[in-house]
Amino acid sequence: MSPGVIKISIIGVYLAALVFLGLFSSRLGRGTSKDYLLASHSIGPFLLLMSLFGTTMTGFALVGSTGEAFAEGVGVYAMLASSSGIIHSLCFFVLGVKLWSWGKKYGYTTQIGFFRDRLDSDKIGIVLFPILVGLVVPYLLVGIISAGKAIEGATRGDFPALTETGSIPPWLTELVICVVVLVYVFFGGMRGTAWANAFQTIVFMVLGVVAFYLIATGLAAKSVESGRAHEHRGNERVVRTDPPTGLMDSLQIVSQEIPRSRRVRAAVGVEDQIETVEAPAKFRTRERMDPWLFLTYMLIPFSVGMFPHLFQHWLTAKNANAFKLPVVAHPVFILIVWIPCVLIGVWATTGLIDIPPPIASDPNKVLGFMVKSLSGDVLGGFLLAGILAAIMSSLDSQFLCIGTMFTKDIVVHYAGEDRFSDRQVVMISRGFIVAVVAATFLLSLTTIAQTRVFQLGIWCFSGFSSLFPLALLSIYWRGLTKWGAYAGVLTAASVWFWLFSASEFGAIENWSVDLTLFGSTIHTMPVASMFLASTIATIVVSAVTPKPSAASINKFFPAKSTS
Amino acid sequence: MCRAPDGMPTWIGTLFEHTVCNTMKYLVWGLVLLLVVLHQDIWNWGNDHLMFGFMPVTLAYHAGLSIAASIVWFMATKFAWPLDMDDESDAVSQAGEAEGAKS
Repeated sequence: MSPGVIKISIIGVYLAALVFLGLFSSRLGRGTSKDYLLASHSIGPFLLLMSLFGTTMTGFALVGSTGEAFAEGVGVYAMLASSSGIIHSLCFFVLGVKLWSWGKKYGYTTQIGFFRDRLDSDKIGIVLFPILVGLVVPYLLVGIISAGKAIEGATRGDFPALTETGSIPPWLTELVICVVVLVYVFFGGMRGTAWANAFQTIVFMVLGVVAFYLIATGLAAKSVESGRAHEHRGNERVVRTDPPTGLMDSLQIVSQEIPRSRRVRAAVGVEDQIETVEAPAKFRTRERMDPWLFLTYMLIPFSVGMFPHLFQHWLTAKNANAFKLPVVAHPVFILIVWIPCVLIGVWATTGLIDIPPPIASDPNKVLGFMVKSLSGDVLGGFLLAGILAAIMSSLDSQFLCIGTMFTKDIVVHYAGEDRFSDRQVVMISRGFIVAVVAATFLLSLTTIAQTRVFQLGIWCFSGFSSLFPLALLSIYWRGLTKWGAYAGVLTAASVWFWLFSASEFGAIENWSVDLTLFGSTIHTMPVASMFLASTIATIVVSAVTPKPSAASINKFFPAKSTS
Repeated sequence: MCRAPDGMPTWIGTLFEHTVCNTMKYLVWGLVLLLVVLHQDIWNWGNDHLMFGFMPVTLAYHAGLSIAASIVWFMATKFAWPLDMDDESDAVSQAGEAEGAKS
């Protein structure tokens, strides 16, 4: 059996197992729409942790973080992962628990349902729906492109009959995972999605640690064999000839080469001796990063507060206490997934491994290439299945969520509860999901697929983050009015579009909003402008427009009993 | 959630909840703020050393920050968990069960 066939067979078995899990979980369902959409509010702490974490960790976290570390260095972890550990849990704590309790009490299924009720405004749904769906599409794209690129990089040379580079073409991988996820979401609903998420989260976390071990030890062993590894004897740096003695030794062999990265310097050719080249510090430090840019990066993780698919997951919780485990464990889970990916990305910049130009020019392929180069065929197949697991564990929730929003917030809301039968509603929901997934798939075939997954993700998350002030104020400020909400949402959307077009729709990488203060220029992430503008618009307009009705305020902010 | 230990006289329990619980709640939110401040580690940015011989200092520092975040959030669930949320949660669950029994 050829190496490519071995890998594809393992991935095929894994995908079949997922479909089986979806079918099996559908047998456990109660057959009601509440069960299909919210698993009857029955999800306990462990499943909630796994489904929330699996949903927030997508191709962005694995393929994107490795690629971005390859392009920009280890600072990637500080920019997004450690801040997410603080901010994601904050959102679960201050938004998730409260929204869960209102959702269960008043029967919400979607964010729009909540905002309509809280703001006493029907039309807020019309404003929010296209914006939320419009932001979910690039998020879906991040996952789909990651899957295609990872498999393309990992099967390079295995299928010479298929493409010029001998890889599985990205469109084929993208098509297959879309179909698999559609099948298990259609059959299993939210219960199937939660089970599949838990299963896939365990798979990608375990396989991620295995991949890290194999890549570290494999890279160290190959480096010693090829005479590229070095060690210090006294003050002298000499070529190492002793094979690595274990994981720790391997880690030290490969990591000491990080500052000697040569890939980024056009003047340095493959023939140059690595040790004679001065190191660019940025791969091991954050020396050249603007502190303001770094500070404003911290606003991006607030996006989880407005992810519609995460809102739906919050509502599946059995009780408020089920949130405690996700709140506590989420930061450490992020660490377990991100640190290995970031280290693999920066190891790929060193002279210990030759990265072919087609891979180096497309950082999305780096993780797949490292897996292929440094693990066997069987383990490589499992590791690729792990990468797909991470990606699919987000796609499923997003697919289910957009279908739910369309049927609940648009079709049933405007046509009336009795206009369609349960079966018709399900068919409409599935039809809309297939249409959105097909549109996303077609977009992935365009030049958008050449954008770095990380950069695409940043723009998408920035849009969601700019809506966070609305979510927070709707829960904690009784003075919020529907006019304030309209102003906030429309301002966020306008500023997002304006800045996105100024960045040539993401084509300019690391684009920032530059401000001149007291003669010096500071760089800020676009999210800061969107976040600030949206907050100011919401508060100012709310302050000068008529307050919500007393009944509406009493419903959400009842007076505390003094007895 | 922060509550006085069982068996404590009522007035001491009330005092405990007013002082210890409130102090801990402010401490937790103070620690969350501290995490945000510590995240801006500009003093580390030029540090080129490898921790344990393999982990760049900036990466090790932020990995430590992730662990610290988990500890602070654990404290938040112990001391800053909204008391009324537990009551609301119970009421909501009971209402849901009653509704289920009816249908």
